[in-house]
Amino acid sequence: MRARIRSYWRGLFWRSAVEQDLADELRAHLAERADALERGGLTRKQAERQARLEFGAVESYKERCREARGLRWPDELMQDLRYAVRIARKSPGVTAVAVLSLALGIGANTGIFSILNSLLLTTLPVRDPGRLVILQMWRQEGRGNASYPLYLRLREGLRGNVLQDVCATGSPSAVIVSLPGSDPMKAIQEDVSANYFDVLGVPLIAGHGFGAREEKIGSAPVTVLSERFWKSRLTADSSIIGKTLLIDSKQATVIGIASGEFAGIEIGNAVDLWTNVTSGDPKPLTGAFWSFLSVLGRLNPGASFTQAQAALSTVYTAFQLEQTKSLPDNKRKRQLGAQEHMSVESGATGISRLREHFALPLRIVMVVVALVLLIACANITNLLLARAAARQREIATRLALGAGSARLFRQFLTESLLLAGCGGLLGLAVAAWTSRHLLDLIAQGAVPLVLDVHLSLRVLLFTSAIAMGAGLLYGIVPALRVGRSELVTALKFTAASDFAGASGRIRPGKFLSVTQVALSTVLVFGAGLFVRTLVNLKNVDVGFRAEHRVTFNLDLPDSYSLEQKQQAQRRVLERLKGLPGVMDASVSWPGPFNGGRFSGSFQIPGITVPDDPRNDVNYMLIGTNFFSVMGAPLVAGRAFEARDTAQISKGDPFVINASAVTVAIINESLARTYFAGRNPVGMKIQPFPRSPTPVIAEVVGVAHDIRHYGLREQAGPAIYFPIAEMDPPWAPTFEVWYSKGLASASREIERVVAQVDPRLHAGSIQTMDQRINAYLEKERMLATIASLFGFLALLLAAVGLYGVMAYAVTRRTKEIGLRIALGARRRQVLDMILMDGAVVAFAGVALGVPAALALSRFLSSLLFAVKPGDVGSLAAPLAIMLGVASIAVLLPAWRATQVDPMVAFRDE
Amino acid sequence: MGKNADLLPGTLDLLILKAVSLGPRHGYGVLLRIEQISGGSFHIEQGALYPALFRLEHQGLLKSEWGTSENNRRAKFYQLTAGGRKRLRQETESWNRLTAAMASVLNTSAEEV
Repeated sequence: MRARIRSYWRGLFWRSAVEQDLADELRAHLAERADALERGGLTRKQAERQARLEFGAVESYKERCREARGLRWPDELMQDLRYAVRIARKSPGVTAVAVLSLALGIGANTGIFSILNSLLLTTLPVRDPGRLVILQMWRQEGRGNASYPLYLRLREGLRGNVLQDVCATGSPSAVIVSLPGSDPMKAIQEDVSANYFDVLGVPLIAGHGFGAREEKIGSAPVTVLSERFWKSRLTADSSIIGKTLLIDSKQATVIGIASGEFAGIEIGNAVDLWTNVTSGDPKPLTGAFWSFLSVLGRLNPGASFTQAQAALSTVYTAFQLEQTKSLPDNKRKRQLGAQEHMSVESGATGISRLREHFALPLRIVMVVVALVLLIACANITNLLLARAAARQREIATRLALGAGSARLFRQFLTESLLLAGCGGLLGLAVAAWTSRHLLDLIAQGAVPLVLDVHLSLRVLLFTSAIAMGAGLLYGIVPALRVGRSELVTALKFTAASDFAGASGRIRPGKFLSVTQVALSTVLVFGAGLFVRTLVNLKNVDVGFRAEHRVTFNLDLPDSYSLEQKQQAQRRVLERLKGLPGVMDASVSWPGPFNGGRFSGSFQIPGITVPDDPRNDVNYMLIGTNFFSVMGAPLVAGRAFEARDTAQISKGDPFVINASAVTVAIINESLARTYFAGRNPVGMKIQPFPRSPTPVIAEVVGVAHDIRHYGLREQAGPAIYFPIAEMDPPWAPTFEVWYSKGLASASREIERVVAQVDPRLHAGSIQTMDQRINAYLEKERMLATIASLFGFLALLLAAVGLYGVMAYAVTRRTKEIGLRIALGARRRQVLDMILMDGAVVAFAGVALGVPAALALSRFLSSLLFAVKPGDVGSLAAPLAIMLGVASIAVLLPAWRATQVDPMVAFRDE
Repeated sequence: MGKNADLLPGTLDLLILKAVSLGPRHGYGVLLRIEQISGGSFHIEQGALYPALFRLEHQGLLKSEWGTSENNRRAKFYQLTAGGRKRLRQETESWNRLTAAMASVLNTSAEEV
């Protein structure tokens, strides 16, 4: 075996040396033989001649020697390749069209695959990622987070049992980091538990990780930097350890640098620095209702997922029982029956909201581009078939010269694969472009999307696989046809006559066209659904005026007292109102389309609202002029006034002063549901009835339904409280009614905020439209890509149909000439060809429509106000499809009517 | 591979292996040696020798080296590898079995059946 490999190796890469050896050896033989003959009495000349005669045909033996060394196939491959290159250069048009369409098709596929690859398949750069598990909280509405007390309980209950240890992390957030004496820079920060790096197994390259000190609530803020951030933004300065960074408005000491590529466990977000969660506001750390943590664990060797699941369920159930112990029976039942549970999931590929959000859309996009590649392949098959037909003479000659049909088959396949190879290489460039633009289309949130979409080995393998697959797909039919050629038939037909099959036999061209039309019907139909979804969502009435509204979040230092925070907010608001171009400004929490939500149960004295999570209402805290700034005047009653304060005990919106009577505004939904037919103004409601000290609030106004949490979600019943004297747990949102553009608004807002207090920070300055649009990223991506590729598919199918029909007309020129000579009218010729094309188009549509309807059922979760099987949605794509098809058919048909019988017969 | 080669090239291969086993030889020398030891019963077409030599080398039964011939010419010398020696032994045995069997079949007279 080794000898054989060595021999192949020499044959392939030391080709000239091997050839030289062979020639030398045979020459030596002839010389020795001649010597012997010369000794026998011949002259040197005669001896040499005699030796050559005895030896036989030298070249033929040489060839057999090469063959004996197994060198024939690379030889032939090289021949085939050289020939394929020559053929490709001889018909540059065909080559260019084929390579370009392949490059686009393969590039789009590779680009989307590389995103899917890094989103779904890439494992985290941590120690033994296979043993990393996510302890996932599930709530009624889907995935949820865990509270800090729950995390502590899980850690206590599971550590050393089935799990080695348990750690927790908050969500990544955008912050401004500054080092004394340097410019502030944007970064992504995450709060983590003290054992975070130990559990994940991420080593530190400098300094140390969090320690026992950071386990305690109220510990001093310290931070660990990512290596990437340290190198790219802090010039890899190792004296940074021990220095103090200003993160937003919080001072934190740098204690270490995490090694390598590690950038957090959330795919799509690259975290730059981690801080100890215990250093934050203690309030969210002590209450079990502040759920903001993702919990991870590391399986003990030998422990299984099933064991971990059983242990987790036990610990969680015990925790829940304990939490609800103090509640009255009915409320306890409600809490326990709320269908909350926790599950163990693999953590090898990290967590990703992005993945949940985009996995299905990206898979759909993948299918779309794969279909487009298929359609493009069909066109290339047609091109190659036509080229093979034009090469009949060449094929006949090669057959006559003794080429085997297997050899011809290989030759033609090599030509196809050469095109595929070129298309694939060019496709890699297209892929880089595609993935970048697709990412831009996806990433519109405040936290930038960082996905590693570089060309990994897996992506390269994928590209070569689809390139070769495509090459085989479009090359196999022409190659088979040529391979089946027989000498006599090949000689009988001339280039212009029918090669692709005598009329009456089914021609592959038409089959391909039918497939193309069917596939593009599916794509155009899908694109129609997505476009209608996007349009419907854009037309959703949010209940307020979004234009000319700029919003931002005001980050306040945690260390500020309530009074300091309120004063800062008041002063920012006053300054904003004084700016030229500002009509009005207001504050709210959680701001509309801001991602946050604050909901809970409520009661109406006299009416018992069934205690069920489905009856929960959304709560919002707003400033006095919120509704006028938002352009959503009240339906009844009055807005809040400066004298209204929530009278809710300081520091926690859940605890309300027992003695206080406060005011509230409800929305139309709530009024309709619970006060049907009565005027709710002046009625009493009871917010947070589960609070130990419930209060009664008087309804002073009724507001329009405003959507706060997305376009797909109905507004639902909502209750508003005055924000004054309240201390929201995270940054309040300001709404500014501003007549100038966003750029000047950003400048002004940043200036005003800095003037009021340099420790304040205005984050996420965006127009309201931008915030709303961020909720449409998925839909916009799907609509854009589906339309783009739907259009491309349509174009390709039209070109294909046109090509097939034009080719058919050329082939039938003589027949048409004859018909015309015999008295057929032009109109009849036109009808004949049109019929021919119409059969193809209608067959394609007839296959495409049921396929489109069937496939669209998988899309229902992504659609809005469009039913997947909606027949109305079919009309437009059908009309477009048939319209394009008629143009593609009409042109060749018209050309057929122009056939001059005289010319047609002289042609031969 | 190559165990059940066609009889004719198989025979040639065996002859070459045998000839080379008696000492390193260059191509022409192998030819002469075969004619010599066979007493001239085998006439081998000269050109056909080389594809056979190449095949045996490719199979790892022979190895080759450039050297100088007795006529002071540069020539490629072949010698057996370990695999070649093993193959020669096997082929010789099976050839002997075959010829013995053939001989006993062909020597059978009518009475013995």
